[in-house]
Amino acid sequence: METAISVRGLRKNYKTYKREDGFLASVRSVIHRDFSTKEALKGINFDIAKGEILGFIGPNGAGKSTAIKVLCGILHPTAGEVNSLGHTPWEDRINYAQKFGVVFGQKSQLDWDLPPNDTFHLIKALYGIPEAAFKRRLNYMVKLLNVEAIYKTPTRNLSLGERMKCEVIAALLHNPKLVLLDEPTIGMDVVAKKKLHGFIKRINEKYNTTFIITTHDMGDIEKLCKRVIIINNGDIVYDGLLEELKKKHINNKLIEVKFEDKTRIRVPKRCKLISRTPYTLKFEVPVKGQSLDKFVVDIIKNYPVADIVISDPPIEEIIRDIYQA
Amino acid sequence: MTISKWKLYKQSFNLEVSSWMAYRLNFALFLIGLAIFNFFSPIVIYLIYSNNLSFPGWSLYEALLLVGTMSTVIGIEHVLTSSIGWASSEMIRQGTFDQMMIRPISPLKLLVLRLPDVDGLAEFAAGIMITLYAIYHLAFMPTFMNLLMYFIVIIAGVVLLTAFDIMSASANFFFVKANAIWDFFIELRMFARYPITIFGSLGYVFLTFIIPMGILSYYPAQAFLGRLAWSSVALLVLITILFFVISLIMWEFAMRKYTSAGG
Amino acid sequence: MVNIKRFLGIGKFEFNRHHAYRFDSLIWMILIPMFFLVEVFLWKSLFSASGQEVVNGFTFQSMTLYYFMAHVTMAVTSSNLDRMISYLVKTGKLIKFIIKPINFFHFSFIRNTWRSLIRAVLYIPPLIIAGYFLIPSIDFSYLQPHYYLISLILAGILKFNYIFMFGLFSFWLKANDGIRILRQGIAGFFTGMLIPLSFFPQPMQEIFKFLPFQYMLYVPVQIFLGNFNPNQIHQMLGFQVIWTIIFMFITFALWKKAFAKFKGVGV
Repeated sequence: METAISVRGLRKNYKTYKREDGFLASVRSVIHRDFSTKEALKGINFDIAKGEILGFIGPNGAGKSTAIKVLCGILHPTAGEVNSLGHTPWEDRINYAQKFGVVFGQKSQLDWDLPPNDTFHLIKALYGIPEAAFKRRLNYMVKLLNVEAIYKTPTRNLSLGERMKCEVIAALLHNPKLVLLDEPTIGMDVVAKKKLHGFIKRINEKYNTTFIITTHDMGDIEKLCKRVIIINNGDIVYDGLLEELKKKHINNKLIEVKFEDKTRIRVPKRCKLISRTPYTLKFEVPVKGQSLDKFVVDIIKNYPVADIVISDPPIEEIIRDIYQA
Repeated sequence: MTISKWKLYKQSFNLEVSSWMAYRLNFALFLIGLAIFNFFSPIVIYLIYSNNLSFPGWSLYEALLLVGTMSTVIGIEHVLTSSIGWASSEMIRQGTFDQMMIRPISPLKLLVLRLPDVDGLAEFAAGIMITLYAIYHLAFMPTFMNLLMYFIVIIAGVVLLTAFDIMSASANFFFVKANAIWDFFIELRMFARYPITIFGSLGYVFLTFIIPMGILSYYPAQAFLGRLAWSSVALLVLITILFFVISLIMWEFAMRKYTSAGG
Repeated sequence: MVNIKRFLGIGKFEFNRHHAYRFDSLIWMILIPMFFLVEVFLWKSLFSASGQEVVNGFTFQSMTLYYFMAHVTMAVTSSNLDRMISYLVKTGKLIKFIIKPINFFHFSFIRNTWRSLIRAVLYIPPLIIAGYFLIPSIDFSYLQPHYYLISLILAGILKFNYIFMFGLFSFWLKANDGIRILRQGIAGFFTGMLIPLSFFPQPMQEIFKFLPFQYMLYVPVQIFLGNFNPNQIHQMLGFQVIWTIIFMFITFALWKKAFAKFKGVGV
């Protein structure tokens, strides 16, 4: 399998300046400021193959965004080598930019007052995309994501889900070999998320595009990624298949129940209670050795349940588990 | 100092300005810049007079009184109520106007009470400075009546500008995308920079009765200088009240349209 | 480095943006002639009260023409690039430009050029209509429109670099609206927009010669009015070029530093 990206010894240190408040301190700060060094990335190594969909997870401040920015070529590392699609991202920016696309969940590139279509045409001009290829790709993606009705409406009139879909289209118009998605499904509803997942898979299958997804949403990871890299405190703590991760480290499921009336329920044995109020209950159920479905059905049958949510434990717990193993 | 310490010092000496300082510096520069805008007219007038030109019937310091009074009136209004137009248009854009609507107080009062504008103080300060400078150099003692008229017309000017703000805010409800409507009402003040007599008799009438910008500068200055009759003051107050009523009516219509259309 | 398709594509985008704000444009198409009208009435009354034909080298006719051309020059060269850059830096959206295969400076320059063209088409016609009614008949033989055009283009490039530089300041100042409004305030006086610079005291006029501001508006307008002989014109154009180069150097150095800061620390 061909390598798309190879990273060796990637290190990034930041200077964080001590906060200077007050007039005298500010004046003094022009000459000299106290600073401490934060190690955002401590010399990480990894390879990504062409056509892979990789999940990049970790708690906030773990170094994910830093790594992504280095791969975008907008951050110059303190040390280390990065080869992405045959380029060193921060050195060969303009040529490299033709080959990759980014979607930042929080920062939109679509012009607010104009329809996404106008921004698409600007992108066509900036990347020099030939007319025929542009039309083909645009129509393909618009149909696939179901935005035909709205992509000619001003961006400010669109819902978040619609906007994100157009953001993704904008990032893929120039047929990049690599796409970085930073929190792409934030604020999206279930239906929109599903559409986006399907879209990413289709593009990946059709064009063999490499995807790197940074997210807190384990649902994204589950649906899309075979392999995950977990970063914590600037180090890679796990680099392997998702299946393995789940088998080894996800032992519990988190269940949150909301009741219609005040209920006092005894927490079953082998379950760990997280929190309880007269109307709610949050606890962890071990996945091994018992049928989760039967368990949930039991609760619903015997108690006045208004809502029940089953989710994976937070990433921090998985990481904690990795360290203990 | 050892070499390594010097290297450390060199490292930390850069173009970094601490956030605290940057924000305060920015704010200070902003206020100075705002004040400079208010000195445009006085300096232009000063240059005009120093090149041996003049407004017929106005000495240099009388003209400066006119222009200083305008800045003062604008400053007062800015501090008190100008946020209405800007804030409501911004809120409509962001969609947060609804939260104003569900409060028990009328949204207009809420906007006035909630958002006093500190920038206005800079304008007010500039205006006061110019006015006092002009008064100091005028060899003229206003009578009590003159001063009373002066203050009454100034208050009328503030009310008039408030009325314009309300009109502009109302217009924004009808033309949601047009931020420039706000600019338009602000820029109308250009007609108050000089004695309205320069616009000829037609202009004079227009700027007294139709778009009464004369109330901002010309008439208060005339009042101070003892050249205004009480009947004129009464007429100006009437015109101002009329404008204010019209603006409130426009606001009512705008509110109705907003609630019926569902935003 | 500039290819036609990219140039046209940016133009289309800029045109779309102006179309989205067409109501605002319409209002300014009314306001700008209004400013001109106030100035004409002002000087009409000043000239007639003074009884003089010529003041500081201006007749009433040439004064009206001065303000007319001042508005034309201002409309074409004005730029809000510093506000745009400050917005991109503050919101972090600048990233979206950095990851594209473009040079942000070139991109901004092309955008600015299109903006100038669109503004010329929007705002010159209403001025001409106002001018038709307000400008008394003038002797056109003294006017220098060809030299003016060159000077206008140079002024536009000069102003672009100058304003881009101010935009870069926002990398260091968190918000740059303070320094921006200060810049606009100073520009009002020193560019000759409010009143011809020849009305300032002589010592100040000498100082103005060493500042870049007069080359952004006053000089082009005076060239148009035929107030310079050919030697002086060449001198003035030369100064415009020199100031442009100076700002380009500063902008280039600042951009390198700003970009390094951006890359090193991340925005």
